[in-house]
Amino acid sequence: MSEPAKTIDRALGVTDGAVGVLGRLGSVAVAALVVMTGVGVFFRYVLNDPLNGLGDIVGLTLSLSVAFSLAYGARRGAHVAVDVLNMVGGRIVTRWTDVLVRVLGIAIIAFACYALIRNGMCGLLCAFTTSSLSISHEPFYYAMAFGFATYGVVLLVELIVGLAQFRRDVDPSEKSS
Amino acid sequence: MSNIDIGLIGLAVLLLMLAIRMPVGLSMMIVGFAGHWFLNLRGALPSLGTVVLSTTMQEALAILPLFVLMGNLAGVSRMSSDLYDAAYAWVGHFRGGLASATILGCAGFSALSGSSLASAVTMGRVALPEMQRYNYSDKLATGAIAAGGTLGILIPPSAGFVIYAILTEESIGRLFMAGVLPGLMLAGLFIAAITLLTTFKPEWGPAAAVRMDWSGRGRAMVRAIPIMIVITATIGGIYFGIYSATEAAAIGCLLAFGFALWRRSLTWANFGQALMQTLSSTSTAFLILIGAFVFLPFISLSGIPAALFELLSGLNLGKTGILIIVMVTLVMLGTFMEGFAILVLTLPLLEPMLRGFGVDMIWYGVMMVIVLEMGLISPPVGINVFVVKSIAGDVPMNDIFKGIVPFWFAMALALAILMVLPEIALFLPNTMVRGGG
Repeated sequence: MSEPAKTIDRALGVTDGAVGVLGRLGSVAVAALVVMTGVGVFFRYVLNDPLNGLGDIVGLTLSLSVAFSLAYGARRGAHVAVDVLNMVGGRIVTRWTDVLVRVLGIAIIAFACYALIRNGMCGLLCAFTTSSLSISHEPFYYAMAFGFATYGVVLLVELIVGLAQFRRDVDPSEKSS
Repeated sequence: MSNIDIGLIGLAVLLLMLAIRMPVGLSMMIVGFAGHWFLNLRGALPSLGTVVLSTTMQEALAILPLFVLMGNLAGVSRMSSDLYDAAYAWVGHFRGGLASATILGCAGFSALSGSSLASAVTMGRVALPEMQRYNYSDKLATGAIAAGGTLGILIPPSAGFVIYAILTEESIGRLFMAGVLPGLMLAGLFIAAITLLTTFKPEWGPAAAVRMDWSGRGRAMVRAIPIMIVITATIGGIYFGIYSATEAAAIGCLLAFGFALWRRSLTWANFGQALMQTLSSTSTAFLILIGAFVFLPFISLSGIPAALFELLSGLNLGKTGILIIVMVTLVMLGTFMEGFAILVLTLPLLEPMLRGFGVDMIWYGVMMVIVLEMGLISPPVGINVFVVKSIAGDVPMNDIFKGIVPFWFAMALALAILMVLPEIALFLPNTMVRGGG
């Protein structure tokens, strides 16, 4: 294997390792969702004593699981795209369009991160709280911004790898995802 | 430039982005945000941040990862094999019986999983070797798996219904109930198609085995009891208003987890895998939902839905005429666009118009999901076909597509029947004990 190919493999490997850690954190959040909702059902129907504000906690946990899932989903090829162009034009066309797609993707993610951080900084002042327990949304805005930022980093790595291997018949990022 | 002009330019840009393989969620975010910026400069940025977080914090949406995890755990606990065995015991000895058993198994597994891909993969791995062992035609075998898998998004729980419910603000529980009878009807139509096909081409589905005796059938049914318990606890609980759809999902998850433990089929490795697969599906659904909710205000502000309603009202086609046009358009879209993409892209445009024409949105939701199912097996981008191809590596794509044709027509027939008899979809939601959450 040539040196540039090794570097690319290493870059993708590091990216996959990092999003794998996020994936594990997201998995814990999903497991927590099951437990919390199950406990809520037990308290409501068996003990006849509904847990006040559980809905808030479930909602916040869900947002964490989504934040941790975005980059992981990107590396797993989970984000739905209409893939007709590959059949019609093949790699000759997609090597160009993929660059555009990744640049535009990074741009909107940057806007989303900025908007999320801005809202997060406003926090309690803007009454960004949950409805029952009045938990501030501030840390969750930051967590979501972090989730989107990691998705942006994945796109950036894929953009660089795609450009470095522009002439190859297969995009290394796509092959591994 | 009028708002409608900006809206139309936005739609054109959106189609262009989809064509260059931009993920659907990101495409909608870009067009929605940019369009909103043009129409209402000040509101665009704060709205982007708020929409992104509020979409992911809706408690009702916790149902998505929970039901996906339930399906994944059901797969781990080998419930799919039990389902197939039970169906096989009853219909396996008929001509084409193994294909019919596959359909029945898929219908049963669909009640455990909200994903058509999961249904096709899980049942395909169990059913395909059996059908190949009995010299079934590759066309019929793969066609039955691909089509049977599509029942996953019609028979509750269904990810398609959840996304539809969130976008149209309909009740998830009522939509789930609305999918039950059409799902069973469609499974019946698939089996009828298999019977018809094997009558004219007996070599496609030879009778597989001797008729199983009653004790054998009884044993197969006993092994399927855990599945019945999970299905009864989830769908039954929603129908009788005992708990909300999200709570039903958590209960189903815990039951599936318990059965997997009881059968000693759960390891740390496959439990972790089930969670990671769930997370992957979560990211798929939520990026699309975030995109849809960023896109919605733009399309509403543009005034296109209202203009579309006015345009179609002028044609004097009536409710049925409009529905036929909409359905034919969606079926055509399904030949090159992914199902969820069609759902989130067309709903913001069509919903106000359909409500204007007095269309029941629960009924429409069921028909739309059937159209999505047709898209799942339509060439060239039918995802289920590719999934089946990944299991049946030696079967040419052409053969799989040929095998799908009778099932595709069965779906078209189901759609026509539902158009004429909306009660098939509306009976259960209208007789539910509670509205369903």
